[in-house]
Amino acid sequence: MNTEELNIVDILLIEDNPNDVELTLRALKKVNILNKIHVLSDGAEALDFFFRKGKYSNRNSKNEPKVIILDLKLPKVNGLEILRNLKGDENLKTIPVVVLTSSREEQDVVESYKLGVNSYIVKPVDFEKFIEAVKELGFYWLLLNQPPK
Amino acid sequence: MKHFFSSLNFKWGKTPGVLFLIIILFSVSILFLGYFYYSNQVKVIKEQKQSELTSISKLKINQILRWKKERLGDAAIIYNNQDLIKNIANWFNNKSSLEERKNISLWENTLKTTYEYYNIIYFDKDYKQHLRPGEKKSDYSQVLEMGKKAIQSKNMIFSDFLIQENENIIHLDLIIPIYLKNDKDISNVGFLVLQIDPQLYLYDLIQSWPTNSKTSETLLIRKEGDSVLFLNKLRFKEDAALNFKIPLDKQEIPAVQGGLGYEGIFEGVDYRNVKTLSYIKRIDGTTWIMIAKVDRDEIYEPIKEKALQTGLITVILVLLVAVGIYALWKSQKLENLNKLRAAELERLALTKHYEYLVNYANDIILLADENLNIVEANERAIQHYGYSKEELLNKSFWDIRSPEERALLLSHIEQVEAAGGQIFETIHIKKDGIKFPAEINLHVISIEGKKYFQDIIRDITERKAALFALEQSEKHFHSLFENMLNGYAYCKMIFNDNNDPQDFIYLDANKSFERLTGLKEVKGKKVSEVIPGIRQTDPGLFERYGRVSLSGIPEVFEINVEALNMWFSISVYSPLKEYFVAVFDVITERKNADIALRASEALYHSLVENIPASIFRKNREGCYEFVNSRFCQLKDLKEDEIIGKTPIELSEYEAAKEAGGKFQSESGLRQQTIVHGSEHHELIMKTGQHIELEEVYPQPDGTIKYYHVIKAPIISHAGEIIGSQGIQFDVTDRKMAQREIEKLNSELEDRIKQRTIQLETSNKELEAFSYSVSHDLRAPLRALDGFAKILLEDYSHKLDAEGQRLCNIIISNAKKMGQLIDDLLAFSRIGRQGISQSSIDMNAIVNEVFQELITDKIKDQIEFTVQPLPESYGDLSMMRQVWRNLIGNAIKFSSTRSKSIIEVGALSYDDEKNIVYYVRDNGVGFNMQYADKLFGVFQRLHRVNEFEGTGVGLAIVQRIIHRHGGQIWAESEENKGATFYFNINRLRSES
Repeated sequence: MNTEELNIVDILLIEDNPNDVELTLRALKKVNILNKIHVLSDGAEALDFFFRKGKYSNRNSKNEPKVIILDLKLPKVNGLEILRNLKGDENLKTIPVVVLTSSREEQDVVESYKLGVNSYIVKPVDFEKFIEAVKELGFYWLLLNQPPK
Repeated sequence: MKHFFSSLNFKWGKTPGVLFLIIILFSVSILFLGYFYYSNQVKVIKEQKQSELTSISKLKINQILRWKKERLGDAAIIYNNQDLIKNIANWFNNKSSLEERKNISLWENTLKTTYEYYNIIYFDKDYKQHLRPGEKKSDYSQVLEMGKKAIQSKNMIFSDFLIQENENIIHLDLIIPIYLKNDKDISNVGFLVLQIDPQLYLYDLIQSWPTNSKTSETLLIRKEGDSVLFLNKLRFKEDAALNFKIPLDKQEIPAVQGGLGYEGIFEGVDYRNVKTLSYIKRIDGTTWIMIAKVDRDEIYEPIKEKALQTGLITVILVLLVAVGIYALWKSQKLENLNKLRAAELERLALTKHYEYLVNYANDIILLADENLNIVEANERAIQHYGYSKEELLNKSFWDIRSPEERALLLSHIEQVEAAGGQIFETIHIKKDGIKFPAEINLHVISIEGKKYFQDIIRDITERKAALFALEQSEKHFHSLFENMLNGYAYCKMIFNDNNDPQDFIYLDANKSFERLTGLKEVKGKKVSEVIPGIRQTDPGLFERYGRVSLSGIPEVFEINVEALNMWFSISVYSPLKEYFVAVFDVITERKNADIALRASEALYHSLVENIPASIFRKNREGCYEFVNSRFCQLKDLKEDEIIGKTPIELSEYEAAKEAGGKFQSESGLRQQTIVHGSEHHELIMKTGQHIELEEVYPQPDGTIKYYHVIKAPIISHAGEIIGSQGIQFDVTDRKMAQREIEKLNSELEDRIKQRTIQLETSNKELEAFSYSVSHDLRAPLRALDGFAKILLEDYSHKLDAEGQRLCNIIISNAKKMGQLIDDLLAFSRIGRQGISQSSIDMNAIVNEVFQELITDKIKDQIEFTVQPLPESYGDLSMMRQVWRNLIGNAIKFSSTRSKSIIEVGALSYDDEKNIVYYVRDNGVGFNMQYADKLFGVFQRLHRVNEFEGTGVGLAIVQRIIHRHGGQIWAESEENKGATFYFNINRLRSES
């Protein structure tokens, strides 16, 4: 993956479970959201991405993703930690973050909203419902939402 | 004196004048009645006669008119008989055959014999008479005139009564013009005259009288010039017909009145100059006037008879009345005389008696004229006033009255005059100027029409003095009686035949009686009315009162009157047999105080003796003056060995008794305690302070006893400290137990600390576990579901039906697993979650939950009722979960019914704190045999293909209820519905 590609990311999907990644991508594809999607599969890598460290040190900060889809349970650094970092950064906090997780624990929901998440979606077991959820997510945050310039 | 006082007599008698007046009054009344009856009879008879006359006249008139009509009818038949007329016409023209002439003769004969026509005259149209063979020619000038008229008018004419001048025959003529009629014209033939003899019928008709009467008759008249002509012969004048005339100026005659046009009843004199009553009436269509008359004498005959009868009866009645009244008066007079005689005798006797009374009376008696001058006085008056009789008779009532009382005399006199007599008191003065109070009995009397004042005077000086003394004494005693502090009652006892007291009546009672007993207005009442039931509750009181009332021996006693719940101290005596006087005081308070004191003493004694503590009191000098039995036990001494000794003396005594003593080893400690005892006593005597401390007593067996000791001063009523007292509790056992508890507590705290740490760790692990389950267990399921779907979507053409079915099984199991995980997590969350306490409106929640659960599809199949639910206290969202699961179950398990009936309600036991809520359905229910499995996790009583579900719902409900300190249970029968009950501890506050 070269730097060129990274600079035109529309949707950043942070998800460690390859099955879920595949299902999410399939869902997006199924509802005709064909924007550029980049997948990160662990928390530490995600932080590197945002703060341009390690292999992302050359990433252009002018082209931030339009929406971030974030799982909470991630290796190394968990989703809530990533969220805290994102919303704590002046440059990054305007990027919409959608939590897409299996957890329906209240503490997760409350904590996420406290940290300033833009949307919290529980992954349904039912694939049909999953597609429906992803579809709505994509439509809203990519097509309808007007981010600050 | 005799002259004045004996003339009081009334004279009265009855005069015969009154009697005469009564008789005359009666007679006049009877006469008046007789006259009234007579005149009424006359009126009736007259009216009767008048109506008789009227009706007979009318009858006659009708008959005459009918007779006339009949005659005109005869004429009409002739008028229309053309055959006859033809015969007559031929005869007039001398052309008639023999037969025709025969016909005429035959008709003529028939007419003459059958009717009252005595002659027929024939005239032709030239008014020439045709004579019948043998007929003489007469003068018919009257007839000729009428015939001309008849032919002119072509009408028949009925003539009036006529008289044939020379022959003196009276007749009436019927003139009939005759005409021959053929098809073309009518030609006059001449006229016929039919002559009627009134003697034959008409006069009889007029004169006949239908009733038996001597003087009645009817007659016809007509006016002719200035007189009236009688048309028929009269009853009393045979030749009157058309011969007798009366001039019109004789107006007293009824015929004249008729001629003058009067109709109706008329009283006058008739042609004979006899008084008659008559009825006059014109006959219409004629000149005739009908008069019906009767002599007055005939009418008055029955009236006279009546008058005679009435008069006779009246006279007889008057006589009877007069005789009756006279007889009554006579007997009355006799009786009065007898009475007067008896009264006179009695009066004489009385007078004698009265004179005696007056002269020898003890009272002063004066008589004064209407000017109040004394005109008579008795012996006693002369003595009392000190005047001679002559002097006294020159005085007036004014003089004998004391000057200050004179102003009242006139008003006294007025009152006496108004009432006839009066008694009053005033002050009189004697000749020597001495005044005395006098009671005056003054009367107005009349002696031979003159007014006098009779004055009976009594000197009431002594009476006044005595009365005054009595009043004073009475006042004095009454005041004493009323104001004394003791209650007083004067009563009469009522006994039965066996002399047993039954009841008593209060005759009098003083103010204190009411104040002390609270019983009001007892005077005149029976005690059984005033205090109902006292006879039964307090027989002792009755017995004592009865005894005193009978024996007269006074008694003093104290008694508790149960009916009043009061104690009395009573002195009772009897002033008279069966009467008694009770003087009493209420001593309830004193008695109650006595009882309370005794009870208090007993209580105190029992307390002191039974309390597990030793008690002692010391006097000022510190010597024991009281110890309880426990104290003695402790010392192992008798009470009298202890009393009077100081603690030190007692210790020495003990030591001496023990001979050598067993306390050598611990004597120091013991000694110290004893010394403390004396020091404390001195301190208390000095300062009055309380001392509380723990004392240690070594025991002979080497153990130590601990005592909790309280010492305090004894304070006299005067506030002086007169000694000290103390109480010692053996607290050795408590002391030991306390030490044990302290040791255990410290061990327990350690254990709890350890446990808490373990629990916290465990909780954390559990949370981590749940989190992990929530997150990680679902991911593989999603993959299973997702990829199986992808397989179906992308590779369906490569999968046969069986392959697709298997994929679907994977999908459905993945979903079920997901549901299981969700439910399990929810269940585990209930256990960990904190409970927030708030008051909960159960009604609102139930309705909300129901609205959430129903869909439009099943709405109409459910009959849902909610009874009023008391509000509760607990975690709102958890409680919502409870209702959601229970009502959801009810809907689910009754969905197979055609109509689901679900009822939610609450039952209240004991009080409002214990409330049981319930949800009842008419669903499939369950077998109670498996009731214990209902609330277990993943426990299901129905197959999955019957009812969906993971078997966690009721487990969650139970967990919530348990966490709220409540209980849940269910009752059911298979296929007969189920009821789930739960209660929660509403007021439990859990952090």
